Amino acid sequence: MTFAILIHSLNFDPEIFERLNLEDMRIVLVQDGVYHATIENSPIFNKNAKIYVLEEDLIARGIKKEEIKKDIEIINYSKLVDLIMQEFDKIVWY
Amino acid sequence: MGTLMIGILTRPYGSSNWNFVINLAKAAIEKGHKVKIWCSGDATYILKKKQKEFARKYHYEPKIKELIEKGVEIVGCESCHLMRGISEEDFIEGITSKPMTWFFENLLKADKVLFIGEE
Repeated sequence: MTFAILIHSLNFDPEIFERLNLEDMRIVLVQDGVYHATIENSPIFNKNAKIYVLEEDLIARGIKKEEIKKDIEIINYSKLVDLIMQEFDKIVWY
Repeated sequence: MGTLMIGILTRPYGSSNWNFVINLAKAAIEKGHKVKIWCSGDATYILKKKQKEFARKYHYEPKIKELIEKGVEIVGCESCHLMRGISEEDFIEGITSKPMTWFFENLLKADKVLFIGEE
């Protein structure tokens, strides 16, 4: 089962996030959550999860591609729809 | 193609959640999916017509109308909107009011579900 966490804010409870451990986890950074893609020691990197970041929200915040850490995939809304409808089994807004 | 159900509790003003929902719903309907949006709690404030635009900030009514024209089904939780003194006559045209049972029935029928809580 593919479990997707849509992180939409910069500050979330790391303790609860720490307890989220599933085999096939995906993290999608949206809205202010996109800032995590630029933070070296963000808790999102402690997970064994594929990470995506929403391009429209990067642009809205003036974040450049070069500032994005590690191998985070930049996606747009169209790609997010495909992921939701074709790959993610469960989706959580966090 | 499938059916995407989005439930949202967030108020329209003071949060960007509605920007996300509108953009996601638009992208999904344009790709041929069916999209339903269930508004409950303070999200029901977005259902009201005659919203006034102030300096192009957070002006949702035209975006909601665009989604409806594209075929997105937007539904207000009956008890939530009535609790807030919002009647169906106040709604943007094309929006309907349904009891909570509608939400659960459609939740189970949807292929994918995303629920966005309060901010």
